[in-house]
Amino acid sequence: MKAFLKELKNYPIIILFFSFLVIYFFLDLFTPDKAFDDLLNKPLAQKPAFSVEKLVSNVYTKDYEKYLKEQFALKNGWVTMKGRVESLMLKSENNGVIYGDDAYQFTKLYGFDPEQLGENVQAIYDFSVRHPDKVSFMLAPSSSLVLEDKLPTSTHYVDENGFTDDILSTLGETANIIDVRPTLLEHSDEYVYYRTDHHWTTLGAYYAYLEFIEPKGFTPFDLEANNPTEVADFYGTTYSKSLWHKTEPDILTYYDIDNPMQIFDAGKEPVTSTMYNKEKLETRDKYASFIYSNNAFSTIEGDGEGKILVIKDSYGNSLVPFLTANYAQIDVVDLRALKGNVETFITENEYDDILVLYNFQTFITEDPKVFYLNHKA
Amino acid sequence: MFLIFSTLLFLFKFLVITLFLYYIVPGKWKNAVLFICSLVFYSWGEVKYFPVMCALILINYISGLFMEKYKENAKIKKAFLIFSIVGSLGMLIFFKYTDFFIGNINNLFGLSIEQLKLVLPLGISFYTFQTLSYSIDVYRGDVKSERNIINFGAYVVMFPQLIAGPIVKYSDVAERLQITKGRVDLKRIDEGITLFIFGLGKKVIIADGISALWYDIIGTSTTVGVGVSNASTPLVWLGLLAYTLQIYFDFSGYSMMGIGLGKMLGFDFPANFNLPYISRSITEFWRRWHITLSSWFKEYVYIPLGGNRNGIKRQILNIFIVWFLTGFWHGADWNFILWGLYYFILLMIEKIWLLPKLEKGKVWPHIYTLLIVMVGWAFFVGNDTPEGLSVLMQKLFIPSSGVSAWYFLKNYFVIIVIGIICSTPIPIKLYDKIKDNNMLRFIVLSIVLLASIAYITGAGFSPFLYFRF
Repeated sequence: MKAFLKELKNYPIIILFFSFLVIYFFLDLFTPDKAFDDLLNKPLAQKPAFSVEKLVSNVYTKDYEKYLKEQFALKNGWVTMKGRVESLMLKSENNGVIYGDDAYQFTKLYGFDPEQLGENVQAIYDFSVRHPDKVSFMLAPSSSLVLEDKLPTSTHYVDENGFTDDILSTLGETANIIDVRPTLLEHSDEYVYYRTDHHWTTLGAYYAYLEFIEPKGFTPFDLEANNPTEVADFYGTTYSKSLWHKTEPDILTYYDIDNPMQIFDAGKEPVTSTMYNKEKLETRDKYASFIYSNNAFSTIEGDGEGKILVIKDSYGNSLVPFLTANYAQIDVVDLRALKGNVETFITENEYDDILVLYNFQTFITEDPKVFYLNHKA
Repeated sequence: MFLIFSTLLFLFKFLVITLFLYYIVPGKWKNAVLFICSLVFYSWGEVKYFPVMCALILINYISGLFMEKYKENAKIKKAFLIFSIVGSLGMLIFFKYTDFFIGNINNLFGLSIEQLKLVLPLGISFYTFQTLSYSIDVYRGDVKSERNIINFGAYVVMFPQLIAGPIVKYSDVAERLQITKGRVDLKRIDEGITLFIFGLGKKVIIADGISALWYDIIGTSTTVGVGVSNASTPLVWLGLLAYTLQIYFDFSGYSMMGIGLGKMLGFDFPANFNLPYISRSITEFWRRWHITLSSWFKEYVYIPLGGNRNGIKRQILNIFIVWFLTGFWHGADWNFILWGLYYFILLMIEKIWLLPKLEKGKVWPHIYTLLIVMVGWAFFVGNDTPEGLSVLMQKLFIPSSGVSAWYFLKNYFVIIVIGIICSTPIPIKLYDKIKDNNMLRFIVLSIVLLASIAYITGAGFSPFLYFRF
């Protein structure tokens, strides 16, 4: 044994490799599993329960591998290290995130499934044919379109402008189109998009809101007359993907409007509260504080007149509070959670306006589930 | 998913447990440990294929025993050879080629026979070639049959070479399989770890890093790429260069990891790659690329068919058969056959006319070889693009505009340069200078290992290229 140990000293590589593997083996074994990764803002896979059935159908082995990967000890440190190595190799992107000027991080987008987009456009088209003179359609552009000059030189992007033109001109036949690109471009030197998140800021949402409200002759929500609350150290979803070491956190602003909101979610008791989930402001997922994020159906008491239905993805969440200045009742629907059509709401409430609001990058995918608009039930 | 080397599961669970058991048990138990652990490795991705492997082992084990027992009786001996060949080849054809044949029959006769859509058992193209070599060698009397089924099973399913080779002949490992005392030694383990870490780096840092450029163009299962038809001709060439580097570093990285793991277990596998991209002719390229496959075809197809002994016409036919099969071995699709025949034609041209001229040239033979090889990869990978092979070829050879290559070149410049340098003998020469300095080696290997773990943990997408093999 002594002779063996003495000889082993001549092989530092063996000592390095095996002690690394063994130490990590135990470190990983004894690191407590986490239920939720705050940094990545998602629940983590848990240790799968073993059953012969799951083993034979390959589910067990697959789940186990996922569990191991997501719960790997010091995982986020390794991911950041990968980003650093990539930066050393002068790469201006990592994990689908492109690094721009002024610490802006953009979601890489080279292409999409045109058939899916066609279906989504058709769904909105059919919906607005059923409800003539009611439906307004707003497509929120990606930060990469508005802040194009912050992208690295000659970055390729899908032709979002061209596709947006097509979408708006098709839907213009039956719906009221709100093109928010000009106003956002005009204000592109202001803080209209987050650096670390794909959403627009409250200011960006406000400019879009003006485009919707002003042509109606309504008096918009007055930014000057209301006190903004600023929440620092917001690290958004884009950062969760890149874990870029040069990230600069964002500041999230909200106007503490205290109108009551009732939230209805499938299988849950209705909840009454204000429009801001203050608890979320303490966590990493700060954007989720706006109208308690994506719920099936919410109704907000406004200070104006008439009723509006908003059908939206998460871009709508920071815009909706401004509508309290103009309507008496603001109903908000996220089809992803509702999983059904909105016809009964429309019949019962006789809305004056219906606003459909999606972000370009969501709208080109299956994710917004707009097909539910024309579902039978 | 299969249990592949470049995963946390393999490194921090499977490898730790397997090596611990393997090192701690007494010599005569080592093969049993190796056999059982390898079966777990093999079955991990597709549990149902466990019996398939057992059947293959049994068929070849029994055939080996009987061929030796009845070595005087040509008829029985031959019957068992046929039995084992049908077993190995039948399994390969059933799993890998049935859908290809059904698809073609459907196309030809306008039928709609349902395809099997089976997941290919991990490494089936490699281990069936190994069992074939075993049975043929026993039949010829080149090796003695293996009496111990555990030893034989350990050889067939041995996990280091299961994924992507090298194709190890029984005679390569037979001697060491019998050693029960001192099979593993520190010097071998040290070499093995070194090879494994460098192989891992080749796969996860270089191959996966460069492949991101190729997948930017063609997309992945979860993302849509620029699209070959939208890309400009320079970008498509840049993408093809990226693929050229990817497949080499991926494949040779796996082989190197396999050889390294073999050494950690006390085996010496044959080399599989020898800097193929520095070749000065296609003939030379195929002596440096996937060496164990080329020599397998030479030994078990080309020479048994008569090789060059029956006149030039027969020889050309034999070479044709070998390259048809080589292409077809790489995947059950027409483009792989096309790829094989492409090399057949080029090798014939070199054999008859070009080779002496290439040997005199200095720079142009390198350019010629690399261009041919790159176009070869276009045949190889064409059907993986959404637009298909013909669009890819059009884009390559008919200059056209589209998405510029500039951003991609800028973004991937460093990793491409690293890839190109590592395709030459430079890193090996540098390593030879430091290899006697334990401290420097320690630093270099630590950096590569840590960076590799970072890449594995942070990988959004790490392709597995051998699902067709």
